[in-house]
Amino acid sequence: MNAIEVRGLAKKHGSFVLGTLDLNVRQGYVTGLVGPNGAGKSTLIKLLMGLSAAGAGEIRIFGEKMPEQEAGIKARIGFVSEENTLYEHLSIDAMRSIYAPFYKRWDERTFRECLHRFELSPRSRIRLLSKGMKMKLSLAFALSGGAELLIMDEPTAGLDPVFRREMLDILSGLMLDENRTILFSTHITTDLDRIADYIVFLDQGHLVFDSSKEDLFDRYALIKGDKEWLDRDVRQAFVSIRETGAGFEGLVRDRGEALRMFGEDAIIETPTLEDIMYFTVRGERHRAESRS
Amino acid sequence: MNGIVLNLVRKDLLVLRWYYLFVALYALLFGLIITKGTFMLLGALPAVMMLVIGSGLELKNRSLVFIGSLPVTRGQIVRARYATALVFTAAGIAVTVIMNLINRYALGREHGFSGLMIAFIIGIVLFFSAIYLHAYYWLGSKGEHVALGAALALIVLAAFVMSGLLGGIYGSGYELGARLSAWPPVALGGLVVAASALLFVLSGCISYRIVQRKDLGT
Repeated sequence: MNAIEVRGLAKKHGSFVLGTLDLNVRQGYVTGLVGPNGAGKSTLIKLLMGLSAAGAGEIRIFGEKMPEQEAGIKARIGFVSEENTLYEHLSIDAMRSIYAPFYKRWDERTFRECLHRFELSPRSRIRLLSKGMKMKLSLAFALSGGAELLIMDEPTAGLDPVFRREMLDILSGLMLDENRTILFSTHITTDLDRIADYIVFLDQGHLVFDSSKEDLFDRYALIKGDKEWLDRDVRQAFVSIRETGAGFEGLVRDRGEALRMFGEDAIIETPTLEDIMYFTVRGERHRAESRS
Repeated sequence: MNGIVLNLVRKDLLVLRWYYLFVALYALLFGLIITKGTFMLLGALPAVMMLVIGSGLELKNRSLVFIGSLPVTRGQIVRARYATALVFTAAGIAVTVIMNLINRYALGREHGFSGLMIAFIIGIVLFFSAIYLHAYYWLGSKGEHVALGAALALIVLAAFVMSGLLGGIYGSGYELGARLSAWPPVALGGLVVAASALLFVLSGCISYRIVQRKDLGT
């Protein structure tokens, strides 16, 4: 079952064009939205949240149409933005008194527990919190509203490694509730290596893939070998290749074909998400340059 | 008005918290100490100040993204902001009435306070709100200063014109005011309120259409 279904979604913003996109976010799983800066991750999230108006296409969340049913849908979503959008001059408690009445399922006990767990004082002024603490506060608000779906735009960006790890641990803990779904965007692929079940990869506004992490790691392979093997036919089998003085390394989409092509002569490794992202983006850019 | 809109209005009021102190200080200063010729602006300016400060805080904190992420519709966001302007208008009138009562009964000072003045205060604030909120939703954060500048210039102009009209009505202002003095005050006040209310409603409808198509927080 899908928590989010996107069909034929497109959005033009100045010279940037997002789409046309078709993708699903599965209910009960963590989906990572990944891509380089300017890939369209934040634009997609804004469209999902109804913060931006789509140029074309359809978004369904929990089976209901956005933006037609947006108030009902958003009552079930917790949103965490990369930048703090809470009123900085207010205290946490004052912000709570503004936020809570909008959510029928607001759980004061959860909120107090979150504050305690995240070491946040209700009297603290939001302006005085660090970026990591503000992110935790946003998460506390999102969770206390009874969110079934958490949509997070770059929640780990700009956080130090300790805070980032802690945030990922919190998100992992949340997934013990099987009905909860998380969609979070990042360009830090190691975060997704840790907690994501599905990966949606965007580049220059286009969907490169929407796939389970296991499937990606089963399909893709990183090949390392001697440059002499790289004739025209072999090169075409790669997503892209990085040549060095010592040899080459390249990404292939079909591990089985790579095994048939190189046998045991080459080193065949399972790529990281960063490898997949790096080689895919590099390949796309190279093909775009060749065309123009 | 439904519960969500009320919650949004409540948010607009709570966000201002400490800024009400500035309004109170302003009211004390220009309501009790420097009182000559300022009674109309005494009511209008606090309302305008609260509206502008609230919108400024929203832009500064990029809070339209926060508001847009709440379980609300865009229509409710616009309706709430215009409803808040009405609450601020009522607060401005309350300030004027309270200061007049203090001046009259505690300090024994007369200020030519009248129902027509109240109508003109409503007219100024609704006129300002109509222009400012429309420009605010149309131009967004990039044009907020332009919107504020234009709206403030208009409100000062409107205040001068209305003061002149009031002066004319009471024998020391514009000739038009003198001619209007022949009108029953209720009719004149009603005309000012109706015209500004019409502009206010029109502005709300256009803002609603703008916000339906606009990306929030830009």
